[in-house]
Amino acid sequence: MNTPTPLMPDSAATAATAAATDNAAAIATAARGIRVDALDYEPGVTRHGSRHQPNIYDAKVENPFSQAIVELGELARSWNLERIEHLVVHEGRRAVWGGAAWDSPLLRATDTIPASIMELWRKESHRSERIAEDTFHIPSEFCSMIKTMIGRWHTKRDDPIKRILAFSSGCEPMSMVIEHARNIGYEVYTLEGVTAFKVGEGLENRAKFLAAELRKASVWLQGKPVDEDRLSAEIRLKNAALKKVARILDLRLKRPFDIGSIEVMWLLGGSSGYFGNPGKYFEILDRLLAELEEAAKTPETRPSLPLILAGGPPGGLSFFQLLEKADAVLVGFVLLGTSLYREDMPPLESLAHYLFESQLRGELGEATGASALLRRRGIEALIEKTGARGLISSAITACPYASLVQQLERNHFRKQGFPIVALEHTVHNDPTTEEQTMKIKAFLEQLSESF
Amino acid sequence: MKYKAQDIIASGEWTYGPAWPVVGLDIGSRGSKGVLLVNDEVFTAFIPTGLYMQETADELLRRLLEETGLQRSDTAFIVGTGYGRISLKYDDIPYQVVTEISCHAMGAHAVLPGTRTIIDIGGQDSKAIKIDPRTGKVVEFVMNDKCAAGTGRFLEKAAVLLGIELDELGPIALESKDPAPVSSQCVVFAESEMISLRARGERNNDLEARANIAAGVHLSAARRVNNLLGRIGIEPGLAFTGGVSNNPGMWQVLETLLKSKFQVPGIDLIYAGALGAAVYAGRHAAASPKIAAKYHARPFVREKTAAAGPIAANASEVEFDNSLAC
Repeated sequence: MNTPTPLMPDSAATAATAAATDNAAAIATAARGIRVDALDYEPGVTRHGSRHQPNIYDAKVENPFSQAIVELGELARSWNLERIEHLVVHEGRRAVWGGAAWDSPLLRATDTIPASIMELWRKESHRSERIAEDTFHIPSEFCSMIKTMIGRWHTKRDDPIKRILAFSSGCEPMSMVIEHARNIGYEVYTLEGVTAFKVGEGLENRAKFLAAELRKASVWLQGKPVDEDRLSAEIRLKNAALKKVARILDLRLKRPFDIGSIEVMWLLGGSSGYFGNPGKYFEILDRLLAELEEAAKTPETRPSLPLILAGGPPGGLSFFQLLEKADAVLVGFVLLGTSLYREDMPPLESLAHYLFESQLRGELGEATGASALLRRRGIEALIEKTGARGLISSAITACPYASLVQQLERNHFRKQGFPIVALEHTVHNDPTTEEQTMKIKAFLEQLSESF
Repeated sequence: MKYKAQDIIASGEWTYGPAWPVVGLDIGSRGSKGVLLVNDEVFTAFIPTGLYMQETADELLRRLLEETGLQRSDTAFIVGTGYGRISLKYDDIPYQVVTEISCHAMGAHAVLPGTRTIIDIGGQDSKAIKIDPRTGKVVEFVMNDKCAAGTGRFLEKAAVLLGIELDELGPIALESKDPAPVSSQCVVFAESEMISLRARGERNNDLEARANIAAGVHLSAARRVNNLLGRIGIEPGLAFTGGVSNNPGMWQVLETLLKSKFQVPGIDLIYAGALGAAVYAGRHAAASPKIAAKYHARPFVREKTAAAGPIAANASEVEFDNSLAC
């Protein structure tokens, strides 16, 4: 056996050993105490007994129907904040916070990577929340999304992504967070909020106004107005992706167990930015589509319980696991739709119209001014299309907008005799609480034929 | 306690009696309830919930079997429900867990067939449940989340602050002529209000002040439950279940607030969850050819005939096993 070469002189090694011993003793002492800043979940690390779970974009599929699903998961896991920051630092790419939803074609057409706001709580959400509570004295009862945003932007204020593309919306706390971000050094561009709840007269003027706002934003993003031909191409690309996803969702109604609800979230989530790799994303879509077209020739005979999710899913995986154990399948997602952009008008106005139509359907959430009242239309359309038997109306705890939406939906669907459960959750990747578990299970029992 | 099923049902025929003994165990946050059904007989047992849910469940099962003269191996099926249901595990008896929402609905439906709306107030949460009176299935429900307001814990805290036992709180509240204003529905803030009210009480009307505070606390908790019920609406055929349902103060103040009378059952509706669980256990057992084959091969035999009447007059008289204490 070779004797290892000493890396330092003996005296230094002795001192280092003593220091290491001190450190070990300090760590041992600290380990006996109460940890006030426990680590959050790290993707790829499984800690048995931990209450932390992977984010849905960091989950792994068990017994996948297709290799394409496995690769979709790998693609989703690979596209995260660390990757985007790496591209900014090492490849000189431009990135901003925001712009990863309805406006994604504009970002791609200006060579700007959108870092989804959801990345703010994909990791370190508990730590960020504690910073919001301890440093900024935000009450613990307040909305976890807002707290996580303020805490995470605070800790990342010296990191590579220093610009935020914001949309002026009806969420006042969100405006407060963005204002705070501006104060601590972020460069913020706010698109003037426009709503189109009154269809008809004035709509075209509003579309022109928002198109002008988007053009100004493109100057902010890249120093010159967006190339509209390129933007049109990006809109066509996104429409192509949305059509494929929509077809997959339709086929899934015949084969509900082939693609899980989390995987559908990946498909929908990926349709905006293609997880940074449009070639791979489209290749996966095509393979999946071909396999499902074939599989759907033999429709599934095992009964399933089709449900609609209005609002975002609770963080963590146990919500999805509870559904899967009961053969319940999410067949409709109100937050993320598959509606197409218009291709018969100038591209900036197409983006504007897409936003207005989403607002009218109640899609995309309050951050883009979606209508609380009109969300029911989207839900009703989904019920009719999918044959769903129940609605999970999901909201972040302490969000006044979402609790109002839930109450409106409860009243409306109760009158219709359509089963609904209102679920509150946080943005953290935690297992469902006992109360949440009971609500979901009781709702599934309510809808089950065997009860 | 032992009941004849026909004596506890408000109307109609008892159709839930299984051919083989089945058990429902409702492991609540404060108290655990068990019901054993066999043919037209209903047996109940109650013990405080201990630290270990499985031990609590085993003790409940032991008491029920002792009362009926049956062996553990005679039990055809167990359904567990309540806060502790997730901890239950049996290797020797077929079992299933069902949420307390479904079980309370079925339990109330079994004994009060006209029930359409249920208020269930337990130790740590409260729920409003709408049910289909034809089937006992849940149609809609709402529950409070992460808040002790309007729960048994709220009342328990108040009793401690007033220096009385929990089961005295309701009767004392009924003596009040002028409920004290406890405006907050938050337990912590309400506690501060109660401390202020108690400090203001004069020595010579101490009992009156105590009754008024107790009544104010009931009113505050009831308002919270009323808000909950407002979300799903009340339909006639109102039942009050859960641990707090045997608190006469809460019963009275809720009836006043809701302007509706609760149906009066022939069994204490703290057992509604366990009874509903037992009904579900009976259905599971009936649907299982394996269980039928077992009992055809070896019918169950009682070692003794259970005497009618209570083994304890009420829950508080049940001997508390200290080994189960928190």
